[in-house]
This record gives sequence, C-alpha cells and structure tokens, in this order.
Amino acid sequence: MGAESDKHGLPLMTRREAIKTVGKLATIALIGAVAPAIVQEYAQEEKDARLRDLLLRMVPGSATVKPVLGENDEALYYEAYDSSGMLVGYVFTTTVYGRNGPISLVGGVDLNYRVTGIEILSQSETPALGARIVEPQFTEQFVGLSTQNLELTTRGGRIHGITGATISSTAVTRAMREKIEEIRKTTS
Amino acid sequence: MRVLTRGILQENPIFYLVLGICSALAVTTKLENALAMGFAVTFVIVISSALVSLIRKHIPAIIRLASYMIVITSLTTIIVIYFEAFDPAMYRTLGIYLPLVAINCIILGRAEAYASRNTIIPSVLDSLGYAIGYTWVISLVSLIRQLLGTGSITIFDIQILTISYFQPLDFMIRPPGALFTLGVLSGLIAFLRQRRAQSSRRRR
Amino acid sequence: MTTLISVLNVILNGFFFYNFILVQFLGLCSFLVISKDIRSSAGFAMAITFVNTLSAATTWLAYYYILVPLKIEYLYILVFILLIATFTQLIEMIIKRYSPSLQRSLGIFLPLIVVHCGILGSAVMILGFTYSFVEGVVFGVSAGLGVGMVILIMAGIRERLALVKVPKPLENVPITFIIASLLSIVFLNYVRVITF
Repeated sequence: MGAESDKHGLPLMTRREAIKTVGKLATIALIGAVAPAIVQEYAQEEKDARLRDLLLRMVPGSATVKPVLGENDEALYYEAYDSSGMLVGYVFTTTVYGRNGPISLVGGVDLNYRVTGIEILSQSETPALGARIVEPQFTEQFVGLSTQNLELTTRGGRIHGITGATISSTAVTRAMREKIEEIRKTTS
Repeated sequence: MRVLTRGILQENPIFYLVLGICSALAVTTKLENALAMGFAVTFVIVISSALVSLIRKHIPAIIRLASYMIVITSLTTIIVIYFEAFDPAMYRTLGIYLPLVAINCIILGRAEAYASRNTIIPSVLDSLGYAIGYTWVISLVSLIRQLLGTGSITIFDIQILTISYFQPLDFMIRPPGALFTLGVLSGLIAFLRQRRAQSSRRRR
Repeated sequence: MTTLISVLNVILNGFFFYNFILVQFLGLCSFLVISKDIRSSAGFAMAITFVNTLSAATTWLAYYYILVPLKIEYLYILVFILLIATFTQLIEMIIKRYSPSLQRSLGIFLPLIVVHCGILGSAVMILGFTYSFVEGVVFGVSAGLGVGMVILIMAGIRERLALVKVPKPLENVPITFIIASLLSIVFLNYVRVITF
C-alpha cells in the first residue's frame, strides 16, 4: 500500500479512506485547539488576579478598581475605590518607546493627580544603564509629584535622570506626565 | 537505559545534531532563563513523544507530519499560556523564543524519527534524554556567558561566585558572546571526539 | 500611525537592530549549512524573503481580522504555522519549476523553511511591535533581506576560508559560529538612531 500515486504524487485511496483521513486530521486539530482553550480559562483567572493586585498596589488604601472603557472596550484607565466605595484615585498602564524598545509601566495618582505609585512592568533597555529605571531609587522620585514637576531636573522638573540613560529616563517621565494629563482632562 | 542516555551525550542535539540552536543561544544570558527554556522544551517534547507514540498506528502517512505539528504546537501553546499567566517576568524575558519551541527541530525530529516507531516508554525515555541533553548544554553556555560577561554567577539572584579583579567581557552577554561560546564549545567537543576516534583506531 | 519615518524605522529594525541571524539567532540551522557557497545562499535568500513577506502579510491579517474578533488569539501559533507551511509549499513549487538545480543545492532546507525560526519569529515580532499592516509587510521584507545579506556575507567568507587551513576540530560548524560572533559584534554597534 502506498506505492501507487496519482499524477500529483498523492497516494491513491478510496473515497472512504480519504474521508477517514481527513476526519482524523480534523479530530486532532480540534483537540489541539480545545486543549489550550481549557488551559487558557485557568490562566485567565490567574492573570486577572495578578492585574488586580498590581493595580491596587498603585493607590494605597484602594480595595477595588473599575476600568473606564474606551471605544474598543479597552481600559483607558481605572478608578480606584476604597473599601467604603469612595473614589480615592486613578490607576493606569501605559507603554512608551524607550531606547531599545517599548517600556510598559503602571502608575497611580490620587484625586489631586499626584503620583501615588509607579512600577515598570517591562523594558528592554541597556543593562546597567537604561534598565535601571526599574530600580526604586529612580521610581520613588515620582511619588508625590504633580505633573508640573514631572520632568527631568535638566528641564526644570524634579526627576533626576539616570546617568548615561537620558533616553530611558525621559521616556518614563514623559509617559507618566502625559498619561496623567490625559486622565486629568477626562475627569476634571 | 541507553535510549535515555543517547540524547544526553552521544547524539547531543546541540553539539552533534546542531538542532534547535535558535532558542538555545538567545536565552543563555542567565541560568534561570536557560532552565526555564529547558523546562518548556522538556514539557513539550516528552508529552508530544508520548502522544505520538500512542497514536502512531492510527495516523495515515500523508497526515503524519501535520498531525505531529498540531500536537507539538498545541502543547507549545499550552506552555506559552502557562508562562504568560504564572510567570509573567520569565514570559517577557523569553519573549518570542517561547512560541518558537513549536518549531524546535529537536522535538519534531524525535517525534518523526523515534516516537512514531516505538512504544510509549522508550519514546518517553528517548525524548527525555534529548531534553536533558539540550538543557545541560544551554545551562553550561549560560553559566559561561554569565561568568565571563559579568564576573559572577547568580542563580535566582543569589550570588554564588564572584571573581574579583576581573574586567567583565561585555560582549559575552550580548549576542556575539553566545555565538562565540557555542563556537568554542562545539570546537572543543569536536576535538575531543577526534581524539577519541584516533585513540580507538590506534588500539585496533 | 504609519509615516515615512516609522517605515524607515521598521526597515532599520528588520535589517540591522533586530537582525534575525546575528542579533536574534533565528534560523541558525539553515544559516550554518547554506552559507557554504554564494549561489545557493542567494537562492535561499530570495526564497526566505518571499515566504517571510507573504507570511507577514497574511499572519497579520489573520491575527487582527480573525483571531482577535473571535477572541482566540492564543491559537496564533497554530494558525501562523499553517499559513507559513502554505507559502513554503508555494515557493517549493516555484523553485522546482524554474530552477531545479537550486532546489537540489538547497536540498532539505527548502521545505525546512516552514520551521525556520525567523519566519514564525517575524510574524510574532510584528505583533509585539504592534505594527500596522504596511509596517508589518515592510518588516517582513527587510527582515528577510537581512537574513539573506548575512548568509551571503558568510558564504563569501567561507568560500575564501576553503583556501585556508582550518584546524580540523573547528571545521564547519565551530568556525562558522566564531566568524558569526565577530560579524555580530559589528551589528552590536547599530543602535536606534531615530527616536520618536
């Protein structure tokens, strides 16, 4: 069996055999698509839990976050409420282009639009230089500042950039400033 | 037993068969990354070999390759989902190399060459052997790169070893370092092989 | 927004900054073997660019217009490989028809384009960079050409290398790796020039 082929080089088989073959392939494909779907369910729960914890960390005292959705159902930013249901601040994620690639970060502000938290989620900056934006030494500078001070000291602001990593430092500072301004405009 | 050890040394997938090196080089900047990738590859190759071995008698020839690819890709998708949810930091570090496990030549090669013709236990052992062979090589490369590139070895951010008065070779942790390390190592292995072949020839 | 600057950035990304062979190590298996002579390297370069461009285009469309609306994004690996396999088959048929000698010299690496890490890799990278369709296609072309260029450079070097005595253990694979590492150092120095 298998020695005869038609002019396309495909093995000759009866129609019944062909249907069985296609059926087998389809079954495998189906299982192959469903199995990840099941894993995805569990994974999604975990991801949602993680995200919630991260967002809550950004505004101290917050107990729940509610997304404010944009036109494509994506979260523009989040409103943070404390345990009694009072609005205490806003949380957001944003991505900006650094020196070597996108930097994504998460941040939080209180109702006066002062920074209450910031964390760098991912970056691919130069190790020991731009990559140091993840260090608390850099990020804790942001806490308590309002947007008018969210600039590098070299441009009149209060953020000391990392030596030798101006592009990375500027990117993060700008990202925070612009996103907070955006939220301020929408919520004032 | 030989089935298991074959993939570890004699037919080591990286040095001998030169397969699956794409991901092998890119993740060897830190030991954790190499181990994580090794885990992912082991997961996919062992389970896929087991499954392929189980269904081998029911797959007509023309859909063989496609079926194996579906099994392997599905398992890779599962491990990608797992990493994204349960270890996001590693997921971001491994980046595009995690989904590339699906087209890792070692996995497909073993499914095609062994698991499709053998029963399940030998298939599992065989694939496990190659997985171990792959993992120990990339772990070694990452240790070398980390040592020469930063002057110390850290495992899960714990410093194990530090060489003082050593100017780290920065290029080691950058892409060229991986190519260079693998080149020197494979040259070394080839040299040892040559010596062994010569001495066994002389003995005869 | 796709502008001239962003397209230029894409081209530089695909060709230099994220060069698939010397920076990202994608497609090393074929690189090590094909780069022995210039003729087959040139043919392979064309084939790779062809498949990469078409797969970049179709995987982008499939992802944003089929997978995302149906919320089955996680099946992207399966779908992408399927598309890549189709185009690999296509280029195989084309080469078989128009240049059987090229098909012979490429040997098994022609059908192996389907598991070329660079093809799937570029499809995934295009998603990661969130390129627009045009940017994605341009990336596919420039990445493919980047691969081709590196293979050609290596082929040129190795053809010269055949005239020199290389220590036996280093022959073929090890020396290629070492030369590649030197080439890679060159590429290290290409950093982002245009920031926006």
